[in-house]
Amino acid sequence: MKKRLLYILIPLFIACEKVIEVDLPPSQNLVVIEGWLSDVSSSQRVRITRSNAFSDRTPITTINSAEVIVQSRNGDILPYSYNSDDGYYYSDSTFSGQSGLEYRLRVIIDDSVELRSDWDEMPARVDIGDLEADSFQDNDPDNSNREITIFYPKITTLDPSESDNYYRWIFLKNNTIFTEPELITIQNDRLFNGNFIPNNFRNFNYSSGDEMTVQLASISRSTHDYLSLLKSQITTLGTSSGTTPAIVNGNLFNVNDSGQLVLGYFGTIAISENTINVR
Amino acid sequence: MYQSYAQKSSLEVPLNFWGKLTLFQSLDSIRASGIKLAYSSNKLTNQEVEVEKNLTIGDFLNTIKEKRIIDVIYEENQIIVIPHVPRDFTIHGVVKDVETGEHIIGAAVEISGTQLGTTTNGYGYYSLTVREGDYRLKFSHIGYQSHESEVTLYKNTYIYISLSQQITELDEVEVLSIADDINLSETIPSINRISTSGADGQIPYFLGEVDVIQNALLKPGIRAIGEDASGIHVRGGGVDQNLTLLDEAIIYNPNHFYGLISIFNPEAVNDVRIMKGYIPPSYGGRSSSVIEVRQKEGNANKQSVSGGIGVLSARALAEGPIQKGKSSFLLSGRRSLLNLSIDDFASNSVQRNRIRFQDLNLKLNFKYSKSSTYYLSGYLGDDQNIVGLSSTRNWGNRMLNFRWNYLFSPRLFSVISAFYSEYNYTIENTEEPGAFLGRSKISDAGAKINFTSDLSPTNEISYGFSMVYHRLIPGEQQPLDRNSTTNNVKLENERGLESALFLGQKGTLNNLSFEYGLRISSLLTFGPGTVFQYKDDTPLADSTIIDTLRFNRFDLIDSDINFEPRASINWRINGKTSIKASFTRTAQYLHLISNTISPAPTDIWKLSGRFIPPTTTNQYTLGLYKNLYSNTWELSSEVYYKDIQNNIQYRNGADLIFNDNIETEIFSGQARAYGLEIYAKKKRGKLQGWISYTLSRAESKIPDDGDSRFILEDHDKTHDFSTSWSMKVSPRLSASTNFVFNTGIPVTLPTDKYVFGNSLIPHFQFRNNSRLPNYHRLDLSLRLEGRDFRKKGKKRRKNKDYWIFTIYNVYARQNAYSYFYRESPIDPGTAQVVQYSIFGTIIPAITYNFKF
Repeated sequence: MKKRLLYILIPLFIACEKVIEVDLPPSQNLVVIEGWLSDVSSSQRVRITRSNAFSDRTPITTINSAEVIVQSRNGDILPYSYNSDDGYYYSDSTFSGQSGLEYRLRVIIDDSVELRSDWDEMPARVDIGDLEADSFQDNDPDNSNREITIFYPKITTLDPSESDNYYRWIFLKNNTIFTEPELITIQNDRLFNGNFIPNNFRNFNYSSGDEMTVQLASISRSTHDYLSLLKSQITTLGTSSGTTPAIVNGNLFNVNDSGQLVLGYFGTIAISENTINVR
Repeated sequence: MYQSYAQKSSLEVPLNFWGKLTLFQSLDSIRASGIKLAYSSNKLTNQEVEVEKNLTIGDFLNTIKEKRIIDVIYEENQIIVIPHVPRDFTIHGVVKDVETGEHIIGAAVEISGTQLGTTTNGYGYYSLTVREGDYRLKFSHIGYQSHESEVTLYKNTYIYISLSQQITELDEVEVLSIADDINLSETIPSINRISTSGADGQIPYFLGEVDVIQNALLKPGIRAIGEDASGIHVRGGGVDQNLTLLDEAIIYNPNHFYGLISIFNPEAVNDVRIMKGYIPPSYGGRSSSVIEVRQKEGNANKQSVSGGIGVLSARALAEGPIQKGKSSFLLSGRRSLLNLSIDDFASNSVQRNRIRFQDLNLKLNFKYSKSSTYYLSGYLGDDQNIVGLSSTRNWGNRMLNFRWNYLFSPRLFSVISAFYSEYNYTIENTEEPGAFLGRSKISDAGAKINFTSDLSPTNEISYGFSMVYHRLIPGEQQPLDRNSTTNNVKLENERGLESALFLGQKGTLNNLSFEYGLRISSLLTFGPGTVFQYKDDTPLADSTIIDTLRFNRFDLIDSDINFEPRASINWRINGKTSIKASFTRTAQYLHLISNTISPAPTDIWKLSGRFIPPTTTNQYTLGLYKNLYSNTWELSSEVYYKDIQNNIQYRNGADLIFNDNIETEIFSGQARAYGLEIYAKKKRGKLQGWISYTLSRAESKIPDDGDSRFILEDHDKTHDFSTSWSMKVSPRLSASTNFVFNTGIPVTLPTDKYVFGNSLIPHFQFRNNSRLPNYHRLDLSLRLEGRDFRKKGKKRRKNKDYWIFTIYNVYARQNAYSYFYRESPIDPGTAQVVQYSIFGTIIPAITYNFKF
């Protein structure tokens, strides 16, 4: 009876969403850099683009003529070159970042404008631990009379005791990465320091037969804070628990003109990975 | 009076005369009987006196003294008779409801034919000191039949009056005799009163729930940010800047169900008073307003049960005498009926978010004597939100308050109260192995003593002090059981003693009345505790910590003192018009730490300290008040300006959860708010209601941006119009309607979009650079009273009942609650602005209410 009453009420409460046209302020056309340097030996990559007007329907443009290098504190320089196939800059040689060493990105655009990131220290790799596929029953979204089994990753990781650790979780289903902004998963060990961190990632849904890959990326505190702000700015806006929209400040700046905003982030990540097949 | 007189026995001697004779004849006859009695025939008037038989000399002298013909002075060896000198005496007492025995607050007490009068105070008590004589006192209050009483005043007199409720039949021509011009006569501006016994206090709102806070939101200057947002903003102030009192206890979160209804069960509430301009010196601790909610006292004459059931909740109340006429009780409960949710009601997933709430109110009062009344009131509230499968959040306020009203003398009234109040939040996550129990809490133990002394009808002083010991548990988390792998994490508790001394005077000078006073408030914070020291001239950050100071138990960590002058003046131009002006300075030592648009139950409170100075506000108000048609219409227009210092602002992306140096995430900035409020209320007649309009601006500086310009506050609404009307259609049917219109709240529109991590990210360069579309909504409701007579026969029914039918958002407007921005699901790479509406449709509801 109670349940039936509830369903009578449902139509009363349906909140509604509609796409609208509003006059938006003019574009700032800002440089955006996204670069991650991992501790896995690979061809490292950086992407440099320009923002365009929010309502612009043309694709984001890539800056393809920049000079790009990554510098380490111990004097190593890693040059990058543009690859027109996918619009990324790739390091000229394979490279693996070294834990405890600081790295930064330097980019020159328009021949003379230098953009730089802050130094970011490569964290120590933390072993991801055992990965299991756990499951729950939920109503089938297509047929509410039927239930379906949803699998999700369950991982227990041992957090190192010595320091503040910051993590980002990356999930792949059959080698395709989950990219929805609400699925940016970051964590710190404030509540678990030195202990097992149990995680049930119920938002990442797999079906029987899928290949489930999970990466645990150790990141620096500033990377964690940046991702956290980025996530809040794209997922909670418009809800009553949302914060006020704001500029997502990263760690990049214009050397020649500090008033000129550079969006995006350059950071280091130390990756530990585990893969299973969901059965 | 005879103490010094040596021949008391001679006063017992019977008179040797009676009948009509002159004063001098009678005094001479007494003298002739051998008693030494002196009088001066030049000074006394030789008037005729009537003397009864069988009186003693003492009786006779007393009689003519009581008739105010002479005064008698008894000296050691003689009696001196002098002319009577008129003196001042006090009439005092209480005004009660004849049926329930409850004290009536704000009833007018006037002396007919004079300008003299007063109103009963917050406890139903009044006091008037006037020259002796014969008077006609008139007692009146809205909704009650007025009452007149003859008084011969030659000594301090106690008069208690019971007023009966006005029964207005449809055809009856109402006699507009009640001089309810309190809005003109009271000294202070900017007060809104809501009485649940009046017609305007019974208007149903969302889902047919009668709610005093929803009612307040239709008054000028009082706003919520939106429909799904808890917390109210008074005259541009923050949601934590309202001192919400339930009886005398502080309430920290007055909301249930996303702010759509308040915790104040309408069955148990008597009245609400909101002071948003001038705040008397006896109140303090918050910057913007005082919201004073008083619970009913309980019917002292007969038992009754009332209640109701609606879509949202069911409620019941029982009240009655414990000892008839002397003591009474009230017990009331309410709970939500269904597991409700707004956010994702459309989802039928098992992970849905469910919410429920319940309240329990208690009040006992005991009238010990004419001069002493004791009250005990309590409240227990609980909200629960089940998120997904294993996480349960609970929060709620609870309070217990004891009050003692005591009359030291007819002119010295005191209120002594002590309270304990707490706000609790817990989260329990049962999912192994990370199961944990988290909690935060603020608890207050306080006492307040307030004396009011009536020196004359035109001069009253009040003074007293208050103390509140705040204990804050900002956050702690522990493993739920032994299998759990979470750590025990705890932020340091905070302790602070907030005290205040206050003194005020109220006076009248011809047609000017004034009120002024000073509140001296202070906060002392105590150890144990840790305070970080930061490098000078650098932003506070983890990286700039240079030292850590540790404090032991009871060590003084920090102290603050503030002088808060307050003043208000009322110039009564004539019987229909007055002008008022006021200044109020307030200091606030407690801050709600929340950087979301609407506060969440999880938000913690924080005491001022080394890095978080108290918020101080100076507010100036000027108003013009006019009553028309024998006070049927009440009009007011006010302007205000508020200057707020040390207003809390947050860094972008502030990390406020389990952060032990929260000062690194916040700033103290400047804010200001100003506006014009216009209010017109029709208080009597078949059609009653009000119109309210506010033109305002609220803005603040965000030091983080390095920008010294004022930026609009998130809750700013330029135009805000609301109106509410109710009408008796037939003896059984009445209808009411509300309409609101306001400018959309500020919104930050993106200038750009960019790609990061394969997601399309909106870029917001300029804060609050646009507004949401205008908001407007119409609600209707009908109230159908049950039949007075049984179907068969003519016996009057003992029970009363009524139905309420409401329609919220009659024309189904999809008011924008917010915008959000997303990548188009159809056209990847392009972005969309999406308008989100909480209630996109019309919402009908029905409730049934009864009383027997």
